[in-house]
Order: sequence, then structure tokens, then C-alpha cells
Amino acid sequence: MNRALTVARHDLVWLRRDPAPVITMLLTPALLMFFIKPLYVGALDRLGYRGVNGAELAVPGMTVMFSFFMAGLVTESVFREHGLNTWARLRVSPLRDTELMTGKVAPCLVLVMAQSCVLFLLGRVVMDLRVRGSLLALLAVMAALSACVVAFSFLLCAVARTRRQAFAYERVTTLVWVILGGTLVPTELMADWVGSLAGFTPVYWASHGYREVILDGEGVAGVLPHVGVLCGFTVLFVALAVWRFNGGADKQHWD
Amino acid sequence: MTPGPTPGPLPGPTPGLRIRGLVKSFGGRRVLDEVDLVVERGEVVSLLGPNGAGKTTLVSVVAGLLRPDAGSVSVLGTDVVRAPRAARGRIGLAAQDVAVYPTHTVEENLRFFGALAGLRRGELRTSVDTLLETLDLTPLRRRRARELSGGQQRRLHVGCALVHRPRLILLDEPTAGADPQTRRGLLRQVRALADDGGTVLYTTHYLQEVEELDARVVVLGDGRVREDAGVDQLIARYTRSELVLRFSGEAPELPWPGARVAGDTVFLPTDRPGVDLVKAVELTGQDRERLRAVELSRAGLEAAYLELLGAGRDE
Repeated sequence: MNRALTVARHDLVWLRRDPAPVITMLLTPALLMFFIKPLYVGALDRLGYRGVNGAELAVPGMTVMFSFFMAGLVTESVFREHGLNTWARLRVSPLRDTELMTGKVAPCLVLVMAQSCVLFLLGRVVMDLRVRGSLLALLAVMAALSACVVAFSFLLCAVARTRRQAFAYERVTTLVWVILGGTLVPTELMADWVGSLAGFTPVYWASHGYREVILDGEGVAGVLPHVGVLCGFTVLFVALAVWRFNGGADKQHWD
Repeated sequence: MTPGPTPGPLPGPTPGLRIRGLVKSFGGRRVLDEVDLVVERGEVVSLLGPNGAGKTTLVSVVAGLLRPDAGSVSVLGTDVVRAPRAARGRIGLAAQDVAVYPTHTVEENLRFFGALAGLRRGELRTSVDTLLETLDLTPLRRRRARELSGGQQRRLHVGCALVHRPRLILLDEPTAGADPQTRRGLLRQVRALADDGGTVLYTTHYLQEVEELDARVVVLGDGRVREDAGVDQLIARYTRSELVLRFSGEAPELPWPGARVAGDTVFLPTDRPGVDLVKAVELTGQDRERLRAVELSRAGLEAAYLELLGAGRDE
């Protein structure tokens, strides 16, 4: 585990010296949720919620979407090693594949949690977001979502052969999930067939978990199904990633 | 780690590297074909061969980066395929392309790879400091790798392979593109590693380096070991020194085994230049008046290597 920590620390130094990707992942959703907040007032009214201001959907929606975009930090980190020729050096070291990948995804887990906390805090301070349910339940959804994102990033690293592929898979998958999962527009306001597909996306369970806490005032027990399904997705992604991962595969960073 | 007298290889029951019947194919093409090689501890073996001969593939298999189709590789008695992790800690690899982190300082690069190999605190600090000193990087320790010159980056690259004090050092063209000063420093370091009991497998296209290292030469061709000998043996086996006699006007034909004439010059193969020199001058007879110069063209590894490759093509 010491070696995994060494890898994680090493990657954090990299992020500290080039913080632009992390800053972008904070600024962009912060700005977007500010601009789209008014649009959700009507939507919430149609869903039967009163005394709301739109932040109840805008903040969790942007948080979920940009959490999955954070997977790009892991794929970039892994494919960068190939581009710098250091992947071979890492594989000649006594580092196990599990230690290497744990070290690679660990900073992402921390960053997704931190990103979610910052966005919710901004929502509270700047957009008057009021959480009706338990804070612990909110953190439980946040933690389950972060684990799911990390597992997703591991899967991307396992299946993509080039950095561009990893980027394309991440963006396309996330956007499809976001649309189908009701992150941008609640599934109740979309066609019925969309609603029947929504449950097959992790973002649906994350978005609805947040809604249960923020709008319906649920506690930990109320979000257990959502947390459970997110954990299920996490296990599925990790299993697929382990199945497909080949540390010796020749991957490309630059083309 | 300081250069000293060459003690030579340390033959024993467990060599630094033992390769038996190694086979590796890519897409139906056999890149390594039944390669056998033993490198003793304290020995430098220089792996030569034309591009595509299988040198880098061999190094990659030994490093555990590629899985062989058949055969075995053991590092100090540990099988690389069966116990890769145990073997890895004993191997240091500096591949052809520089592999360092540009955003990290020289010291951070070295510390990272040392820590991954399990070095901690004082041990890590000592190893990093020693390497910085040996590779002449101490003044640059806090400089980021991206700010280093090409030669300095290459030294750091080699340093990252050595920071955990490996017992088998795989250097795949480590001096490619390096300036003469960097090259000299790296060669000195390689020799010192072997003198320290390390086993060095060194691939290069610079034959002068092989002579300077006084390495054992293994020539790969078409995936097989075509030759395995010392530098002197190889030179003696494939080339001969020549006496070169230059005349004013057309050079005469001389009754000398293997003599050849080219314009105003006669080339006479010799194994005993001192004795043959007198004999050759006597043989010129009346043409001695026209003799302008006598030179000795010593056979070198390059000539032997080219002859060996040529012989391979003729087969």
C-alpha cells in the first residue's frame, strides 16, 4: 500500500504544478449551475415541489455530470505514463498492477469528493440551496458516486487503447448517461421510454439519491437503495476493468 | 560505485542472467529464435546486431515487459516469468527512449523510483545523493527535468534505472544522442557497476563503446546468437591488420598471401606487423625507390562486426 501512496502522491504533485484541469472542473459546473438554476423553477413546480429556487436540481445535476468528467484525470494520468515512456519503467519496478492502479485512481476519489463538497457549498452560500434531508445521507450518495466514478475511470483505462479513445468514451458515455439518467432534465418530464432506460445508468441513481435528500428530506435509510445500486455499478465496472486490463498492452498517448 | 581495476566476471553457480531457449514471435515472425545466453555477475555483455535483430525484444523479455513464447529467463536464479515481482526488484532498465517526469525535479524523479523499489528514508536519501554525485547531477537536483539539456536528461534517465541498486542492469542504447562528455560519464558508470558485482547487458550501435568497456560481445542476427566472444577474439576471428604501402605511381604486385592493390597502394594482411613490416619492404625490391609511406592499419571491432554481418548475409 506504501507504493500505491507513493504513486498517488506523485500524481498529486503533477496536479499541483498543472492545476488547470482541476480548476476547470470546478469553475465550469459552478458557472453552469448558476446560469441554469432559473430554468429549473418551472420544472420543479411541474414535479409538485413548492418553495424552491431551482438550485435543488441545478447543483446536484452539475455535480453528477462533472463528477464523471473527472474520470478524465485518471485516464490522462495513465496514458501520460505511456507517452513519457515511464509506464515500462513502472512495470519493471516491484509495483503490482493493483498498487499502480490504486495509486492512479486514489487522487481522483479524493478530488471527486472535494469537487462535490465545493459545489454543494457554493450552492448553499451563493444560490441559497436548502437541503431538507440528512447531511449524512448526502455524504453517503457523494461517497458512492465518487467510488463509481473512480471505477468508471479504471474501466476506461482498461478498454481504451489511446488517450483520444479514452476521452471519447468518457465524454460520450457520460453525456448519454446524463441525458438518459435525468441529470439535466428530470426523467418524469421526458418520454416514458427514457424513464424505463434511466435506471440502467449510474447517474440516475446518483441524481435521484441527491433529490431524495435535498427535496424529499430523506435520511440515510431513504438513500440506501441509491447507494446500493451505485455500489453495484462500482463493482461491475471494477470487474469489467480487471477482466480487460492488461498492463503489458501497448497504449498510445500522442496519437 | 567508483571506477577501479576490472576484476572481471564472477563465475559461480548462479549467474547474473541465464537465458535458455528463448523464443518470441510477433505475428508469426520469430524475433527471438532459441536464444541461449549466460552473463556472469560482474560482467558487461554488449548486445550487438543490426536494426530488427531482436535486441530490444530480448531486453524487454528479460525485464519482464514481454512474455516469452518458450524458454526461460532467470535473474540471479529467480525466474522472470514465474516470479516476476521477485525478479523485478533486482532489475534496472534504461530503455532507448528517455523516461523521466518533466514536471518533477531531478531529485523527485530519482526519489520516486527509489521509493517504488522499497527504499525508505536514510537508505533512499543516500542512494539518491550518491547517484546525483556519480552522474554529475548534484547542482541540478532541484531543477525540473523539462529544463535539463538532452544529455542531462539522459543521465537522469539512467539514474532512475539505478537508484534502487539493481543487480542486473539493462541498458538499451543508453548513449543514443548523448554528447561525448555524457557518453564518457555513462560508460564510466557502467564499468563501475560491473566492477561492483552488477551484471550489465548493454545494447548499442557505437562499437567504440564496446571496446572501451572491454565487454563480451554477443551478436544477434535474425533472432539468433550469431557470435559470442571477447572483443579481441572477435577481431582475430573476422579481421586481420594490414600493412599499407603507398608508392609514387602505380603500386607493384607483391608475392604476399591475400595482398591487394588499389591504385598507388598495396594492402598486405598481417598477424605480426613488426616482423612482416621488414619482410614487406624487402619484397618491394627495385620499387623501393618509389615507396612513399608504410602504415599499419589495425583491425578494429567495427571491421570485424561488419565482416561478421557480411558473412551472415553470404550464408
